[in-house]
Amino acid sequence: MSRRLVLHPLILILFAVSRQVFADAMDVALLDGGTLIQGRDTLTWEGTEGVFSASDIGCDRFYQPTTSPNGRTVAVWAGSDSLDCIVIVRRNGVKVLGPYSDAGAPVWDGAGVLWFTAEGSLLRNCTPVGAPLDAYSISVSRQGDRVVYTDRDDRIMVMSVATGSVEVVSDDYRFYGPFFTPCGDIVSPSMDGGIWLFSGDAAQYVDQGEQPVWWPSQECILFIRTADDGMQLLSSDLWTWTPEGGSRRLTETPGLLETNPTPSDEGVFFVDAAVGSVGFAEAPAP
Amino acid sequence: MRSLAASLLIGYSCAAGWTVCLDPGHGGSDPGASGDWYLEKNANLDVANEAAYYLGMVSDCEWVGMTRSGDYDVTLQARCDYANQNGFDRYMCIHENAFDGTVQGSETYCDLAGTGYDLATGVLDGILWAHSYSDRGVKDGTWLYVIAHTDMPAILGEGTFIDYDTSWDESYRYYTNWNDHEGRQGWAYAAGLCEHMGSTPPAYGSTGDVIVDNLSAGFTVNSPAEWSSGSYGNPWDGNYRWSMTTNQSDWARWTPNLPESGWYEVSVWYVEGTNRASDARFTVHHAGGDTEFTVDQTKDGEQWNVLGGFGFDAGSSAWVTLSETGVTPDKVVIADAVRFHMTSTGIEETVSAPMPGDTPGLLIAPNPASAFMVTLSLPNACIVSLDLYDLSGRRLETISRGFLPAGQSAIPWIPDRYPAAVYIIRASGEDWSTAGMAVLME
Repeated sequence: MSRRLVLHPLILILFAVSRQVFADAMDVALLDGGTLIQGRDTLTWEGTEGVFSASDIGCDRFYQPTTSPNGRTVAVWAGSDSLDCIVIVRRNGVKVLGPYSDAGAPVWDGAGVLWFTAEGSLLRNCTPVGAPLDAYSISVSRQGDRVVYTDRDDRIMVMSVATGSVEVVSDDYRFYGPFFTPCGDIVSPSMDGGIWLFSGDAAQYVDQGEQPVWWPSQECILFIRTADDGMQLLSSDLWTWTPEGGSRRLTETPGLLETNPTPSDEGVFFVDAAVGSVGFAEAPAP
Repeated sequence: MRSLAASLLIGYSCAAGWTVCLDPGHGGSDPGASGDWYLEKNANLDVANEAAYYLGMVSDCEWVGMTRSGDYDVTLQARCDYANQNGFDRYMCIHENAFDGTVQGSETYCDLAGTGYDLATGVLDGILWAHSYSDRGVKDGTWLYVIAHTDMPAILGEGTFIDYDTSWDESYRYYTNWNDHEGRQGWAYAAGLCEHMGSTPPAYGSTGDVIVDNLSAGFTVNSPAEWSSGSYGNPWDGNYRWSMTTNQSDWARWTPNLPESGWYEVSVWYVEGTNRASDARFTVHHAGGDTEFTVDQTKDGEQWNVLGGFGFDAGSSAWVTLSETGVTPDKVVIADAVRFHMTSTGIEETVSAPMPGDTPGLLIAPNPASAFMVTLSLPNACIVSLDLYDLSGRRLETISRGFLPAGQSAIPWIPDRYPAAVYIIRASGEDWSTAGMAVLME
C-alpha cells in the first residue's frame, strides 16, 4: 500500500499566490476538477471569480462545503447571528439562496438535488417536504427518500420524506453527524470516539476515529484518528475501513494534522489543522 | 456583490432563540490539572452542569448541548465536530488552571478580533464576581484547538487555579463546593452568555439554596425602629439592617421555608466595618436544638461565612437569630442575609460501608453525631494519616497517624474542642487519599 504524501500541484500554485487565504483554511471541497478552499469567512477556488467573502452577503462565517454528484457545483452554508444563507458556487460564479432566519448545512442527493433545513422545515430544491425538522446537519439517501440526522438527545433519527414518519435508528451512544452510504447504510461517529455502521437492523462498530466520510472510488469509509493533550491536537492521520479488510492506515505523518478529509478518485485532500494549509495524500495502490 | 448584500438584508427577521454548546474540558483518562482534593476534569463537569442548570431557566435559550455529560474521553476533534455539526450559536469550553500552587486568578480566551471577545469579557466579569480572585484578563485564544476549529464564536474559560494551595486549598473548594464554588462559576458562564446574547440572565442562588435576605418575607426584627437600613459596601441584594448594641435587647430573625427535610449548610452574609461587633451572636434553631455562634463582623464580610451544617425539617420550623444580648456594647451588628445550602449528597457519600477491595474505603459513623468512629478498609497494610479539615479547606489537626494493617481498622474521633459544624475527615496514604464528611452536633 502506498503511503506517499504529496502536496497537490494546484494547491502549490495557489499557495504561492495566496498565502493568507491558506493560513485560514478550515475545509476543502472538489469543484469542477479543482479545489474550493473554505476559510472562516472566505471561499477561494480556481475560476473566474476566485474569492468570495461572507461579509458580501451580511454573514460572518462559512461551513461545510459539499460537492454535487457531477462535481460542478459546491454548496456552502453561510451565516451570522442575524441570518443564514446557502451559497452555490460554480467555477464561473456564485448564487445565494436566502436569507433565512435559521438554516442548516446543505447536502446533495444522488440525483444532484439540493437539500437543507431552514426555519424548521426540510427543503428539497428550496421547497418544504416531509415533516417539520429542526436539525442543522442532515444527510439524504441516494434516492432522496430518507433523511438521517441526530436529534437534541443525540440519537440517530431517520425520516421518510414521503410520509414524514420518523424512526429512531440508535440511541445506544451519543451520536453526531450521521450520513448515508450509497447503498443506504448509515455511518455515524459517537462522542466517545467510536465510528458505527448501521445496516438494516444491525449495528457494527467500525473503529475509533472521527470525521468519517464515504470514499466512492475506493468503496470504503475514510476517517481520521486523532490524539490530543486536552488543549492541542498531537497527531491526526488518515485511515480507511472496509467490512472485509478492516482498518488500514493511509498516512503516518507526525508533522501534519490531517483533518476534514475530502476524497477524490486520485486521493484525499485534507486540511492540515496545524497551519491551516491544504494537502493531498495519494490513494492506496489497488 | 455589495448590491446583493443590500437586497438580502431586506426582510430579515431575527431568530428569537439561541443555542450553546458547553464543553467541560478533559475527562476520562485525561484528568487535566489536579489539586490535592479534586481533579480538573471533575471540576469542569461540575461547573458545566451548573451552567446548564442556570441556562435551563432562560426562555431564549433553546438548547444547551454538552460535549460530555460524564467522566469519559472525548477527543478535541470530536468536541469541535459535535459543536459544528449541530450548528450551535456559541461554544464555551470550561477549564480550570494550574501552575505551581502559588498563583490564583481568572482568565478567558477567545479570538480577540471576533464576536467571542464580548462573550469572553462578560463571562470573565461573572467569574470575577463569583470568586473575587485576580483579574488575569481576556487573552488571545486562537492558538487553542477548540477555539480555532469551532465554526461559531467560541471562548475558553480558566476559572481558577485548582492547584493553588498557598493560603487555602483551591481543590478543596471544588471538592466541597465551598461557598457554592462551582455554582457561582457556572452561573458566571450562564449570565455572561445571556448578557452577550441580549437575554435576561437567571438570578444567582436558585440552585436549591434557600436565601433569606433582610428584604425577604421570612425576615423579622423585634422592633423596626431599632433597626436602620444601610447599603454601604456590597450587601446581599443591595441592602441590610443595622442596630447599635447599646440596649442589648434587639434581635433579628431569618425564617426559611425549606422545600425538603435534610442536612443544610448555614451561612451568613454581612458587610464588615471597624465599628462592627466582633462578637455578634447568631443562633441556629435546627431539628436537633439550638446552636450558638459568635461571628466577628469586623472582618470576612461580603461573602458567605459558614456557621455549620444542621438537620432541618421541611417548612418553616427552623430559624437563625442575631441577638445583641451579651454582645460588646456600643457596637453595630449587621443583619443582612442567611443561606441554607442543602448538603445531603455529601453526607450520603459517607454512609456506605467500605468493603475490602482494591482501593481504601472510609466510613464515618454515626453521622451526624457528637462522637464518631472512623472505619478504614485497606487493601494493603500501610502508614495512614487521618486529618481533620473545616469547610474552608483549613487543616485543623491530625487525628491519628500510623501503621494500619490490611482489612478494617476503627479509629475513634471525639471532637471535644470544636463547635457544631460540618467537617471533612481525610485519610491518606503514600499514593492515595479518601475523605468523608462528619456532621458534628452539640
